This record gives sequence, C-alpha cells and structure tokens, in this order.
Amino acid sequence: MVNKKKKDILTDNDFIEWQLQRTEDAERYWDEYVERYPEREAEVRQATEDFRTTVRLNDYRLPQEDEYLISHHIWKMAGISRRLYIRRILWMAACIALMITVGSILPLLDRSEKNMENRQTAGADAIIGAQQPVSELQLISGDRVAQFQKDAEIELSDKGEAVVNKGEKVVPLAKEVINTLLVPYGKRAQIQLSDGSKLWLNSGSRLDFPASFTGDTREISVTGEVYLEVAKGKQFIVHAGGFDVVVHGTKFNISSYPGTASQYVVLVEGKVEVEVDRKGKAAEMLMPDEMLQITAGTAEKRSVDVSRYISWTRGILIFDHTPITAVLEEIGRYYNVSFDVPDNAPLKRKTCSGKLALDEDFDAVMRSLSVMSKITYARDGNAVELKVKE
Amino acid sequence: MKIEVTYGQYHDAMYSYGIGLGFSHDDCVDAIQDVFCRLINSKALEKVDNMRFFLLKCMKNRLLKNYRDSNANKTCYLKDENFENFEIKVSMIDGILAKERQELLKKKVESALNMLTARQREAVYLRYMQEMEYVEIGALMNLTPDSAKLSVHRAIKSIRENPSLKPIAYVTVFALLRSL
Repeated sequence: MVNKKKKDILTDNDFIEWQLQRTEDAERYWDEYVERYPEREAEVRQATEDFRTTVRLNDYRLPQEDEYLISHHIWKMAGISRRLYIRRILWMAACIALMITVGSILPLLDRSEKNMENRQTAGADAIIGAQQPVSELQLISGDRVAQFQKDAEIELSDKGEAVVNKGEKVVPLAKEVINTLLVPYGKRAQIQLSDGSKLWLNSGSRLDFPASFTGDTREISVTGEVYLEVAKGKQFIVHAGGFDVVVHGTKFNISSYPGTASQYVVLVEGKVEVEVDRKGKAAEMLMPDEMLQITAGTAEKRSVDVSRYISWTRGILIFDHTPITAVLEEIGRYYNVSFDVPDNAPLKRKTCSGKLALDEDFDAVMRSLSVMSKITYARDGNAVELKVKE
Repeated sequence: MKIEVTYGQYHDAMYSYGIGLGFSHDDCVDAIQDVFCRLINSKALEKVDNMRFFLLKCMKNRLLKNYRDSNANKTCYLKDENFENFEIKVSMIDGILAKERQELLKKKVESALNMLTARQREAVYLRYMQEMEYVEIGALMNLTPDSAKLSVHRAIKSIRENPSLKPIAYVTVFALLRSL
C-alpha cells in the first residue's frame, strides 16, 4: 500500500484509474487504503465526489433540433400504431365485423364501376398518396405561442387561462387580443370557451376567439370544420368565411375549408340563422336535421342524416355513395396524407359507403377503405398507392 | 413505460456512444430514429431489464447495419471487427475545482486514456459515463462473460500478492482492460 499522504489525491494517477475504471480490484485497493489511513477517508470521499462531478467523457448531446425531429417522428408513429399489436389479435374479428357491415352495404356500392373495361397498370391510373409530417397544434395569444404535440383538449378558466389536457399545461391568454387556435392536418382539438360553449375542431382548422366575451354578442371566427355546442347566453355569432351563423342555443357543425368547392352548416339541435355573404339575400333559417350547403355563393337547403356530419368528433367517418376523392380528402386531412389524383384515374368515379373508424392507424383505415370500395392499397414508407382492384 | 419517455431518457447516451464509436452526426441521428421506430411496433421494450444496455446494443448494431447497407455495393469496406476506433474527448464541468487543479486533472485523465487501446477506452467510457457493469460491457463489446470474470480475478490476485508495490498495483488496475 502506498502512502499518498503528501499528494493531492484527486490528481493521483492511481486515483484517476480507479475513478475511470471502477474495477473490483481497484475498489478493493482503495478500501484497504482508507482502512490504513482513516484520517484521509474524508479527502478520498471529497476527491471522488469532485472527480465524478467534474470529469466528463464524450459528453455529447443530441442537438435539440434533431432531438425534436426524431421525437416528432416517434410520437407520430407511436400515436398511430400504439395499439397495433392488440389490433393484430383483434384484426381478424374486426375483419369479420367489417365484412358483415360491408356485406350489408354492398348493394349500395356503385356497381356500374365494377366492370372496369381494361386492366389497370401502375402509374397514371393509380392514386398516389404521401404521408406528410404533422406539425404542432398552436395556441396563439398576443406574442405568446404555445405548441402541443398531441391532440389537445382545452378549457378556458375564469382567470383567462387556457388549461390544456386537464392541467398538463396552463397557458395565460392575453385579455385584449383575439386568440387563435391552429389545428394542423393530422391533429384534432377540443376547446371549451369562457361561456361554457364547447367546440370540436377537425384537422386543418382555425379558431379565433376572445379570452372572455365582453360585448353584447359572443363572436368567434372559424375556418375548416368545427362542431359546436353553444351554451345559453348572449347572441352567439360564428364567422365562417363566406357566411355567418347566428346561433339561437344549439348544436351544429360547420365545414368551411378554404379551397373546397362547397361549405356547409348542419344543424343537430336548436335553431341557427345562416347569413350568406351576399347582398339582398335573407338569412336562411335552419331547423334540426337540415343542412345548408353553400356552393359558389348559392345556398341550398336539404334534410340530412346529421350523424354522418358530426361522427368525426367521435373519430368515425360515415360515407354514403361518397365519391372516393371526397373520402380521400377527409382521410388525408385526418392523417395528413396528401393524395395525388390523376384526372383520368378510374378510381375517381368510384364511390364509397360505410363507416370508417379513424382512431385506428392509417394503414388499418386504408385497408378498410379498400375493402369498402374495392380498391387495392399498397404502402411504401410515406408513399401510398391506390388502384382499382382487378 | 411509454416509448417517448424511454427516448427522452436515453437519446443522449445513444448519441454520445455513437459519436464515440466514430460515426458521424448524421449516422447517429439516423440510427437513433431507426432504433426507436423499430421498437414502436415490437413488444421488445416491455421485456427489457436493463434499458441502457439494450438501447446501446441496438444503437451499435444499427450503426453497423446502416454502415454495411450503405456500403453494400462497394467491393471493399471495413469489416465490423475493424471498428476498433473509440475516441474519448475529456471535458470538465467548471466551478468545482480551482482552475489549475482542474487543468492538471484534465491532462492526467487524458494521458491515462491515451495509454489505453480503443477497446479499453470504449469500456472505460461505458463504465464511467454509462455506469454499466463489466458483465454488460463485455456483452456489449462481444466479449464472453468468462473472459471478463477471469480478468478481474487475475487482477485481484496480483494485487494481493504485491499489496505494497505501487508499480505493480498500478499495472494490475489495467489488467482487466488490457485483456479486452
């Protein structure tokens, strides 16, 4: 045993080897050393602590932007396939259930498309989709931008704060400005406003709202698709890009995606007035189970099965002779997949009827869709390809 | 445990290990992403006792696989066993030691590491920074547990035989590592 009395233990070579390697023999050696020189025990302990807090080897950190990109990828993948292994077991059962559903719907399917005259080859005939990266939900209040990775459930508190996912995060809202909630493709959000009104925002939607309603009326703006359950109170007006909805206590759905040919309002309960942005036109009054479809400024009212229009709030899409392009548009928004539909694609004339549960992963949804509408579905990484089944 | 949480805990360890093995930043980032994406759909994580060991092993395998795949078309490339390069950069956290003492310690640590072979450096890194047991280190570096045990035993034995001889004691500390 070496007497290290005069030396600084921390910079002693043996000590350094011990600290770096912590081999059993070195541990033993230093145990013996402390036994022999108990007066130096404190010094050894101090040196050990100093060494371990000071010396770092290859102390590299994954740079934040990469860390973020990878986690984003994982979140996305985990989000859509967390329950995949359970589904593997349930898949067969689901298939059988689906076949029964489809079986009952089959007569509805557009049989005229059944005998596509020629065999399709890959390429221009196919609909190609590409899964896009999903961006964050954003809650913007004045200069403050809060971002959320996951779907969010937001509740505005009395104190003018936005409580996200039951307190996971609390975002103070600016009083005087209009706040904005941006829901990107691939995400959904639910928000309860300060007056207790509840809103469900579908993918690709935007909501502008005040922290609290102060004037004579309650006013919000939306684009995209929103389902509202308005609480009783002052007059409630929804500005929906191209038309306003004046609410008389109610539940209703608005679809007003920019860039789509038509927008619509579907009333579930209560009464709403829809003011289409056109001079000299009286407001349209909607009753429950009625839909007002607005195409290029022309409003058309008809009776509908409302469940079809609000089922997305429960993660279900219902189709009834819906053109496949419209179906893909909805699915694409939900999962943030952009589909490229060639003009002459035979698939364009296909329609689809049935129920699609959206809380499954994207592949499962596409497989169901392919069963429902007799198409083939293939996936390669982020790219997907749809073709008419031979 | 959720995979996101596991990722949050271990991404730096995986990255730092990959860099130490001599891979580029991009290779390491790709490998980390590959490892986790593969784990999402597998039950493997649930069965893991030692997450750090498991993920570092995955990381190393993935780096080597990606390297092999990217060189699959070339007629000549390094074989796995030639990946014996392990660099260690010593850094010091300021504020605990006086400046000169810190500098001296850094130099001494560096020279101690320079005396080691690449594989010994890898073992030291895993032992010190990742706080792994030698058995795990052996498994990670493809050594049989027996050879690790034998080395430890040999080292202890020589310390007992020469308890007071500094040069010998000094050497025996290395005995295990030298046998790697």
